[in-house]
Amino acid sequence: MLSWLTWPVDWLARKISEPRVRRLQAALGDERYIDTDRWAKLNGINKQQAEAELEAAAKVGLLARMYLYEGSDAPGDFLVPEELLNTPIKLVDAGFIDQDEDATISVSPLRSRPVYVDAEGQAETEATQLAYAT
Amino acid sequence: MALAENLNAFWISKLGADRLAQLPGGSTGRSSLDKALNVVRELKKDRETLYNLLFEGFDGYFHQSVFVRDLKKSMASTLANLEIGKTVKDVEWWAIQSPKAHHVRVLAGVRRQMQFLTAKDVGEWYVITIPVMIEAMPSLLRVRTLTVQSTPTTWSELLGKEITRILTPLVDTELHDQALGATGVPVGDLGEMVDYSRHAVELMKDTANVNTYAGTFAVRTVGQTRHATGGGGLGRKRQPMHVVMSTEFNELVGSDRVRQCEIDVQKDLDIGLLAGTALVIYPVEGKIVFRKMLSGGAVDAFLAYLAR
Repeated sequence: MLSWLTWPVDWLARKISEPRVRRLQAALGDERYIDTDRWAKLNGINKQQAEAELEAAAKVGLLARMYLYEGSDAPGDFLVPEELLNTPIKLVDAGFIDQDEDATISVSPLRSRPVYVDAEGQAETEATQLAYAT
Repeated sequence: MALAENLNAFWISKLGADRLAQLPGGSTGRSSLDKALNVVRELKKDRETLYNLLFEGFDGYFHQSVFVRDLKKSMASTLANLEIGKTVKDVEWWAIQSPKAHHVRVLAGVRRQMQFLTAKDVGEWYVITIPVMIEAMPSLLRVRTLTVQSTPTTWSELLGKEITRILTPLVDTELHDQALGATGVPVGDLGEMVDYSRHAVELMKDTANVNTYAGTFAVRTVGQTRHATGGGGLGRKRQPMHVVMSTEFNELVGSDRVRQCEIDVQKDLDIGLLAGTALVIYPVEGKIVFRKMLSGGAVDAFLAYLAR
């Protein structure tokens, strides 16, 4: 019987075997995001292949693509959903509670890099929080 | 017109007294700004020479921020085809140079609105044009923005009006974004920021020749930490990390993602850096800020080393 999960499960079964998922989970631990370089290293593949795999996972909704901002004008790095690029983001909404309430940073795609997060966990939480907060 | 002339003189003055003395009008005047103003007036109709002096400043004399990006496809021909004299999105293309094959550099004037507080407590806006250089090599793109760390006294001189505060800072990343935006190249074709973490670590580890005073590095992907030595003050030198914070220094140089480090070169290095050069490197942003250079040539030589 077909369900909503048929396609992602099918994709997972073909792309990432169960032991591989466990290995990756163990390697990633409490990491906040993964990027193409790390994915390539973990899997012994090249950067283009890694990008293709991560993008494919994002397409089926397993991962969500976000943008990592590490600019020195922010008190720390933070993740920005694609739809909030080039719009002012309040630093307090990104979790920097010691910052002035009105302090904002506009993150351009030129000065951030794409990374991937768990689509159902952190990604959704952060994206939703930022989207509601700004 | 006077403001534009004063600004050009201000940039040219950074070439230093020795270089100014070799230029027409550059040996008369009290301050280096006076001398540079004479040079700019002498060159009034010779924009090419003026722009060449700005290129020369970027080569090694100007305090500047350098942003480096990895490209999949060279942008040399795109830059070579920019229309000199044309203004796009408040960026005027001033001059193009091609030092060698597949290496094109474009000098641009990036216009920014700046607000100043006058002695009468009135905020006044001015359009300030800042020189920026975009440089394309086969697989690299560099944007070099002039650092303007000036006091109200300097701005009073440039604007011809007493200024008590500068209300709008000039931010290098904004100049970078504006200059690249004006090229018309889609963001997706502008490559990625180069990660210089490995180079920064190599440099910091050379403790016989390089002092590191502070550094911020990633803690896996979950956060970051910063170590810094305290300031000296009263003529005492700030202590380098490897001497007084060796455990923390080892943590910093053990990191594979360095976000920021402040270093000072003690002896001439064969990678192009000369003794007395102070740098702040933002490795994961592919950004290097040249804070202090004691002589020309250091910037280009070091960038050439990084490009290798």
